[in-house]
Amino acid sequence: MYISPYSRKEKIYHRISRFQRPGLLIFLFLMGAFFSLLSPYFLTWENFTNILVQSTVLIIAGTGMTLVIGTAGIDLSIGSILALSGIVMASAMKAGLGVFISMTLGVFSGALMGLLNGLGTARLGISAFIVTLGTTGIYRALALIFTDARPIYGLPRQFRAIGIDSIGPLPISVALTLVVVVLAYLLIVWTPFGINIRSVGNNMEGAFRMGVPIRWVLIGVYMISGATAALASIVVTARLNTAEAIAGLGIELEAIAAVIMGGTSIFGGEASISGTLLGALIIGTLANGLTIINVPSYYQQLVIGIVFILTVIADRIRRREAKAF
Amino acid sequence: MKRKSSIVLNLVLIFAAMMILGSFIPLAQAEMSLFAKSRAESFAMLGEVPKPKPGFRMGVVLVTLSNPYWVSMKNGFEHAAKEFGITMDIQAAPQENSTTAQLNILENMVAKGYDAISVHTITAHNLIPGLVKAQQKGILTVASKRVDLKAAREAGANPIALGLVDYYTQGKIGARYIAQELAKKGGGKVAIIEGLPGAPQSKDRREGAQAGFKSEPSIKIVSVQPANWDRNKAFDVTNGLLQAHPDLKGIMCANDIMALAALEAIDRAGKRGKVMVGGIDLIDQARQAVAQGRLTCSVAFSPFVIGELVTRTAIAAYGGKKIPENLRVISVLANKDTIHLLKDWK
Repeated sequence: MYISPYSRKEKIYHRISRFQRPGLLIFLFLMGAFFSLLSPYFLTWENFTNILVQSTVLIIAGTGMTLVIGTAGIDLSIGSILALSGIVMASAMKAGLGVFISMTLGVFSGALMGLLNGLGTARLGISAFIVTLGTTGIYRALALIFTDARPIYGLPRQFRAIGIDSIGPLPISVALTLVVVVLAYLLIVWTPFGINIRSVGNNMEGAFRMGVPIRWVLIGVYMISGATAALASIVVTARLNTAEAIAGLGIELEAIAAVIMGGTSIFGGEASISGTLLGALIIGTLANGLTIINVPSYYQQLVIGIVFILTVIADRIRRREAKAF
Repeated sequence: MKRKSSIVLNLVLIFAAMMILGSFIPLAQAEMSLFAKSRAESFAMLGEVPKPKPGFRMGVVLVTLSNPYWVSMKNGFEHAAKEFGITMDIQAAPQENSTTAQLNILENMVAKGYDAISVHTITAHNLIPGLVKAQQKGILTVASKRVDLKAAREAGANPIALGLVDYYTQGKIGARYIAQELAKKGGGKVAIIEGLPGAPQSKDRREGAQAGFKSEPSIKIVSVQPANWDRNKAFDVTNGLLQAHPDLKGIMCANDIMALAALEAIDRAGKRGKVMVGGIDLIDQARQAVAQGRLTCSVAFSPFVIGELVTRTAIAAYGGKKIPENLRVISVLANKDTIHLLKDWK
């Protein structure tokens, strides 16, 4: 007879702790049902692609943020990185460099900015909150100084395709997002780096004693976060056909909200890409649906704030009950 | 007999004179509110608006509602919607710089399929992809002239572009009034404080003010300085101007905030009443200052009427009417003589 190594209580714990994501999925469907009841315009293909395209930026930036928060860190600078890396790639295109080369340059610049964040946290030992708060100001200021607060406008058609064209029914921006999400998922689940991220977040001292290269892990996650911010910038810049210094203002808070809603603990040790994906889709669907049923923007922010707090409370209850076993 | 008849004649004459005078008195009393007057004049430029089809649906995308200017415009839109009996949805971005969020809102509204959509874009380009989608769906779009029309047309959108606010004229009528008042006293030196250098609104108002001052040959412009629409900066700039030109007679500022700061600086320098100051926008503080005679003049234009006129334009264009090239909302000079007619200005 097969004897499970887990006790009955432990099995229930696992079952409940897996419930967070299905719970979010159910919530997303209920929300969809609610909006489609209130408006005939919600459940259309056009609006469905609207929601997906409008969520791409948050999902891409959120994947990087998931890794950072997984190490019990935080990256407040992604909005500024988004703006500055967008300006880098747009200026490169304006200088006559190829679209692909410019985008690569942009992503590298994002990773470089992330590297500085990582060095600050890992080498100087300053808390991530403080380092990235500082670099937020620095990167944004560089963006303003470099452009003189004037938007860079009029980018090549090939580049703009990322923001406006589709491959069959699938918008290119959504395809790009899918690639980023799948890569991040594989990174977390299949690679030693992914395991190290969670062990650093769970117990840094313990991870250190087990021989986890903590500094490299930290530098790595901030570089990835910078790179994903730059990838998100590709979508924003291509969609608006403009790179500007005020791009991405406040995206860091939305990304953190998506990650936390997805069940990743702000204290680290977990990193759920699928949760972040659902969290970002919930925020995107809420913003879209509330516009469709014509709720004024003030109330939209109110509703999104309430939903955020409620999901976090639900998560807290789940954890406490799981601990009770 | 002769005398009697002349008395009768005199009485008749006096009676007639009283009648004529009397008929003038109610006219003088009912001096028209400048709001009603400029509103009517603005509407007259568009002319007759055809009756909208039943169930006409219009969407409006504004910049943000965290600013009284846009709230007043929203009220104007709603007022016009009620007047014409059309359905109207109004949305705005959360903040003045939420460019992506504003585009998302427009795209979501396009998905709802209105008969007409009016947009007030944050930057010249952020709404163009949404305007293209609207065009593809056959939705009539009305946009503020801020939209880069060349880029929009290249991308495949052809909105009706309205430049309803004439910033140049605003600068001109304020400066011209100061010039005329100064000319009565023999003219003198004047200066201009502009907003953010390079911003189109600031440039237009500055050029208007220059033209307004130049309308009087006895007036000499000695300095044009930027103060970035900022109260503190304007205070410092005015201090500098008073130092450099002790005999300065007038300052035209590109908005009221800067004009009020200039007044403070003039008071501080002990030159109260010796320098005429003009502003633009007629914000509440400026209205009080004009009524008290501290601020020489301000220039009022109505976001409320903009909302109304855009709605009328959308309905008229949908009904096949050709929209006149230089449609405008009329800006009005507010000075000590007209301030009492501006009480209901909104």
